[in-house]
Amino acid sequence: MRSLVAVTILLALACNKQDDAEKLQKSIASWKATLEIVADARLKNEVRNGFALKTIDEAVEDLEGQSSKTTNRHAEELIGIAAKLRQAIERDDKSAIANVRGELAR
Amino acid sequence: MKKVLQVALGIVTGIGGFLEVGSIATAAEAGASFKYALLWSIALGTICLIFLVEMTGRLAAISKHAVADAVRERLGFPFAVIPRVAEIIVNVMVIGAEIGGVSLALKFVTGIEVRVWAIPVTLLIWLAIWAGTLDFIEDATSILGLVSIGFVVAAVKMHPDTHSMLRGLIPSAPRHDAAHYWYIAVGILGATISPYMFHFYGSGAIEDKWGEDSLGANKVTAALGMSFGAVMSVAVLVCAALVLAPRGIEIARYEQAALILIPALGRWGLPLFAGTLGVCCFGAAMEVSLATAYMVAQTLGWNWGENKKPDKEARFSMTYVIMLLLGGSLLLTGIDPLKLTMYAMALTAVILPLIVLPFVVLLNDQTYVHEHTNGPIGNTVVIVTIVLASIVAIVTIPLEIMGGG
Repeated sequence: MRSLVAVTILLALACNKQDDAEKLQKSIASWKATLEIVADARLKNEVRNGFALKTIDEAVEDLEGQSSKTTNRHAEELIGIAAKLRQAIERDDKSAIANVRGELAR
Repeated sequence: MKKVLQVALGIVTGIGGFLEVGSIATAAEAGASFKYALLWSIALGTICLIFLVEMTGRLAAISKHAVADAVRERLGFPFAVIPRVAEIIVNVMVIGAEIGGVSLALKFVTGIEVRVWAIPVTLLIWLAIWAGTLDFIEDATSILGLVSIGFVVAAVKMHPDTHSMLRGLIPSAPRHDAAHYWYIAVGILGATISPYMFHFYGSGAIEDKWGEDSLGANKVTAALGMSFGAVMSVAVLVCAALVLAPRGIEIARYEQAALILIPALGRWGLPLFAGTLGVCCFGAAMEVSLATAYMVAQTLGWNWGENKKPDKEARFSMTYVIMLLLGGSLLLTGIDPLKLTMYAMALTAVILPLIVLPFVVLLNDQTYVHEHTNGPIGNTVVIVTIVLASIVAIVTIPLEIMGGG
């Protein structure tokens, strides 16, 4: 009986682990696309700097929160690109924004 | 002429007052995650709402009773208290979500955090209710709320596929994320069939002294106003389906939802989204607070009325002040406004049978509505929809919470 319970708990934990990883994968794709729209909109002056920076912060916060449960190289890469985009927007450097936009598309 | 104006104002109220934080968040999430597949839930919720709003107006016009008042009189105080307590709890969450909506709109424009805006926004809403009359609240909300037509303009500009949209009107099983699909579906139903609307509409009808001659205008207002209003929700869903879904964006934060107008409207997209969110949530926060005050006063047998001076109706006025304070305080805890909105809408669906079933009993009782009792179609649509929505909500809320919301 005990072993059955242990197996069930392990299976549940494994499923949960898989769920977390799957969720993180979806989040990475979702935030990557969000940052692309934000970068495009900033290049065309369609959103203010403040809004763009807040959105980047939300992306980083969400990704960091999820990566704490399960490590992921892609999440770390995206967080790095987000930091670069943040700096480019803060400097209002359009060519740097365009470069980061290219990096996001790769 | 007076009737035509009444109907026109009702329709404008329907359009301008329909959108609020719940309908924007649930429709945007639905479009982003499932494209047009959840359009049926907006349509079903709207049909149910049309029947319920019409019933509320009919009850008020014939019996001169608002919903809470009549439920207490017909079914007794101990029975009436249960749905009202459930409503108060949910309404605190809804008011918190609406104040959060206004604060988010201000955050999009100024960059200042939601928590900082929570107190000034709460005070401003209180001031508008305290100093304003019912007509002011209704008219200001409706007319300013017309800014939401921007969503329709954006949706049309992006040329949505009408065949796919029509397919979305037929309920279907999801191909992925079944729990999330049903959770959003009940969220949409909860956001569309908002119980506060019955208290607000019915009490407003009594304050405006509706009589039997208002029944025609009531029918037209309910049908056209709510239908036009639903078009706004559909437009939000369509914009999200066209902008977010193809890019694989799932809404985890409101900032992502705020992007849906930019491809169609360019630099006007974000201010228009913020304006619509701010104005509609401000109006809804006033209406939910007032509706709760109406409901509490009618259940406890107090004097009530927004058209009277606050010091003449101290307990009524104190109720909406307390509701606003409780709702505003929720945001100070740092709760995620998007999650608060989604939980509030899903919980609304859970409690719908508690609120609507006793009220449907009244609409079949000739003592109250004389020969104007409900027909079988109205009874069936309303009862089946709300009971199903409640069951699905009870099943999906724990699944959504376990899945991390």
